[in-house]
Amino acid sequence: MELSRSWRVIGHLVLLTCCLAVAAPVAVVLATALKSPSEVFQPSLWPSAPTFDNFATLFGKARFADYLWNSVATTVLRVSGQLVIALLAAWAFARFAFRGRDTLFAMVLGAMMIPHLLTMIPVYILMARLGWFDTWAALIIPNLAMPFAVFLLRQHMLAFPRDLLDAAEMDGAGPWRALWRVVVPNLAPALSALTIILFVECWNEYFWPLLVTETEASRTLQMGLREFLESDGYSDFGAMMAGVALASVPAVALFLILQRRVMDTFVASGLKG
Amino acid sequence: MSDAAFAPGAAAEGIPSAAARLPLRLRLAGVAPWLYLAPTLLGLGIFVYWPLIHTVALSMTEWNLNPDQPARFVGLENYGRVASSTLFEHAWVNSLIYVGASIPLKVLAPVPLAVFVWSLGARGHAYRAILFLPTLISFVAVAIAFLWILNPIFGYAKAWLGEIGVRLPALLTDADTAIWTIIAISSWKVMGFNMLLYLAGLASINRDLIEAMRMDGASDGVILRRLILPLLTPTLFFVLISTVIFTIQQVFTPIDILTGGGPQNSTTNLFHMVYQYTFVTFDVGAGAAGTVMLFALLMAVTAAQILTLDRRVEYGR
Amino acid sequence: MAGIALRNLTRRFGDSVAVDGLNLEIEDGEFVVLVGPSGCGKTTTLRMLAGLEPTSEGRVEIAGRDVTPLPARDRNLAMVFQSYALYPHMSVEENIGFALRLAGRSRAETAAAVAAAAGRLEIGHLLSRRPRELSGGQRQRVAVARCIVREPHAFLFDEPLSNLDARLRGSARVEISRLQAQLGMTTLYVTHDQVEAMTMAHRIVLMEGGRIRQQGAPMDLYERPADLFVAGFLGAPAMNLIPGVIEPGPRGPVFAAAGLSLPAPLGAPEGPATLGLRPEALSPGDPGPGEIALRGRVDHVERLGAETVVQLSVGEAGAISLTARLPGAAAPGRGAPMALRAPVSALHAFGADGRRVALGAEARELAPA
Repeated sequence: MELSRSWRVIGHLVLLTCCLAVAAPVAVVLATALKSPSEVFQPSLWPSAPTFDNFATLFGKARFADYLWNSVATTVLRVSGQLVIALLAAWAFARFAFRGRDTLFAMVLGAMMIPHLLTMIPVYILMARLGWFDTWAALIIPNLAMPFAVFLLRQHMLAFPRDLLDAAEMDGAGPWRALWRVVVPNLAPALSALTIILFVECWNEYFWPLLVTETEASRTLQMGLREFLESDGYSDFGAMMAGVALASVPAVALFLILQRRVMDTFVASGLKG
Repeated sequence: MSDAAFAPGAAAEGIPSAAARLPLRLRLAGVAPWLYLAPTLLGLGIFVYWPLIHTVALSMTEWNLNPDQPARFVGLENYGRVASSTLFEHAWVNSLIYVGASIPLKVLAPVPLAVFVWSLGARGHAYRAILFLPTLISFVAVAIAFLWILNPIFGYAKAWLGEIGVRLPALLTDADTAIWTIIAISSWKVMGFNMLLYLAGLASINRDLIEAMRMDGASDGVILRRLILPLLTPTLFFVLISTVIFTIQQVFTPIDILTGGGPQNSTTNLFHMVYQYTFVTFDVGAGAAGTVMLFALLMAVTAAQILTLDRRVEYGR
Repeated sequence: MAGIALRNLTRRFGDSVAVDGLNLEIEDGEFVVLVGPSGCGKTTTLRMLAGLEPTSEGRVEIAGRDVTPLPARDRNLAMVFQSYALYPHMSVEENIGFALRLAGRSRAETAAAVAAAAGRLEIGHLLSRRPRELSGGQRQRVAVARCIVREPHAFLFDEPLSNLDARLRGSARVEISRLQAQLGMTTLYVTHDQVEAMTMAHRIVLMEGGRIRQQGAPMDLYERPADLFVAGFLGAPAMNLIPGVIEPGPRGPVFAAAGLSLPAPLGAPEGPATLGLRPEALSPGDPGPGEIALRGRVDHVERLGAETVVQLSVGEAGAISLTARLPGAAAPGRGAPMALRAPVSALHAFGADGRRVALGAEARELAPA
């Protein structure tokens, strides 16, 4: 659709302002992170001599190596588990006819509508009773069943070409082998997009780790940021911003690699902020 | 749909005599879907549905999270206690402010932006990419970054505003400005994402319709008002519902990092109130009661929106 | 290869019946084509035989064994789908060999079998390609290769040529027929295209409304359609069907319709009837002995090169529309009058119930001597 010239100019100006508003804080974070301690409190945007000293502080003085490892490991384990479990459930809903299917699916949809904050107190108590406090298990297991992933994968499976499933059946594949050898390889686009959504959600999670992590045995990067803010952050903003950059890099890197696909599925999924 | 999910076991219907001769594998076929579902059902049962009920039970007890001390049943007392507290009053009013301010900033403002980016076609992709960036960055990182930028002594905002002769007030420690600062930061985080949701809604509009209207002599303004905005209403409602839930939930992070709910409870919301009751003062009963009230509020919002959705969104595609 | 029997096969969807008590036997090595208009139940029948669709009633027997409760994967049947259903994520070689690998055959054994099947279909050079890199004709061959590599009890084809262009369709028909004969494949082939049915089948089974209307050798159905539906379905252009009435005349019974009065075929009973006449039975000119005459005005002429299809209006006020299929390109122009003749023996008659009325030579054969 072609707009008139004046509207186009106004539109570009507004959007450029928005982009600047997005880019400026990002630039500030990166600039501060690369400044030397003596320069941090000077307002020049770019560091005169970029240095990685601030990152060294994170890995030396603070326990960011542990936090990074906890974040990477729990995210990988949790996302893989979420994908496998959701694939199985979605396949049950898409492939089989059984009594109570529609009711159960409605329950899954219902669970999608229930935010974590409504269930956190009993789950927190449960974690304490199980002795899972400050362990990876507390970060991973309560979040393994992912209603949204079940829903998304079921939609894709229902849209899966019927003939291909029939052909697999004729070729001698039962439901199990049809799932892993025919359906999953052909859902690769949806699965990789879903992986990114789940990854970003887990990587950026704040509230739940705040409740169940206590030491570097399970603290994730996001918790590390909070911890560092409370201990040294106000006096060492250089290292603080280095931490912010470090915590943001994986998600942003994934985004840069898979730009279009990420955006399209984020949008399609709609639910995650 | 039941057809699409035809199970081989169903082929045996009406022929019981033949079923007896089937291999064990096929006679067990009816169990299969339950095995596939088991992990999800267990997970949702243990970590979603049971806790929901447990929360209601906890809301009627007095307990301090100490496993050695038994919970005492107190009926609806916690609800009265929470509802009459000043913390609740602040949290409730602030929640309304957060949600109310979200609608123009997060729900309405992205609409013209999205329409404009959409009108650019493929040339709008650079805008999309940049505006999507805040969606990926964790709210903790965002909050801490703004804590630094808005630092009243050394922050960049102070330096930059100083250049044009404006003095930066201490936004986060002033009870009048703190909540608006948090609203602005959370808008920064979510606006690009909502714009993308609108773009997705716009992408489903058949461009032939626009051509047809143009052939009929319609101007840009007419096309916008009579075609694009009506077709965008389903997306608008969807953005509204997700933004309200986002605002109630996710704003917890900047509140916790930036102000801790203060100064003088001026930035707390219902979620943060629940957190404070339960995990700061260990008043589990009050926390659970607050949770149940929050749940009721969320249900009411969702129900209201589903009702309006049903009426307004018939012409989705 | 093995024989197949469908016994009282029924499929209901709620209140509607898609397939209604169908009985059909297919002999070992026989090529049966199931043909009918869309919605006639032919695909449902095929899918019930395959095990892809549950049966509401009745039995499916393969090689004398009741397989009704077995899922498709345990029936050892192979199928070519309308869309070909090639796995997009596998190479041609993996597509063809998938069933063998699932059945636990070794890599080497599978590769040899795939190579043999590919050689037979002349797709050996395509083995490393992905389905999306193939043309429609190539995909169709891969789909067939995927079936023959398994040496199944029988082959099922579900409208396998409908995604090909007209030229390829002709050669694919020949190829499938040839392959079927060479391998002695027991085959059930579903199509809505009567040309495929006529050219490929050993036996045509014509379905309508979930039931079999008529079955038999292609030329039997063509020459002696059992009812109006079969008469109208087979043949292109379709048989001319003229509704009218048979009544007594001065020189024996006559067929009368819209001012037209023709000598009624021998043995046709009096009363309402429909007269059938294939377009190719008509030829230009005045009638000789044993022929009827039809005069009309030309409405439309289609010259196809080797033959010409002429539409005429016949009878009072041109109320009857006839199609004639004439050899060559010679035909009068539009609006011109035209005289046509046809042998009485080419006339078909159908009674008020739509059933065929035995006539002429047929009636004499059937009549007690």
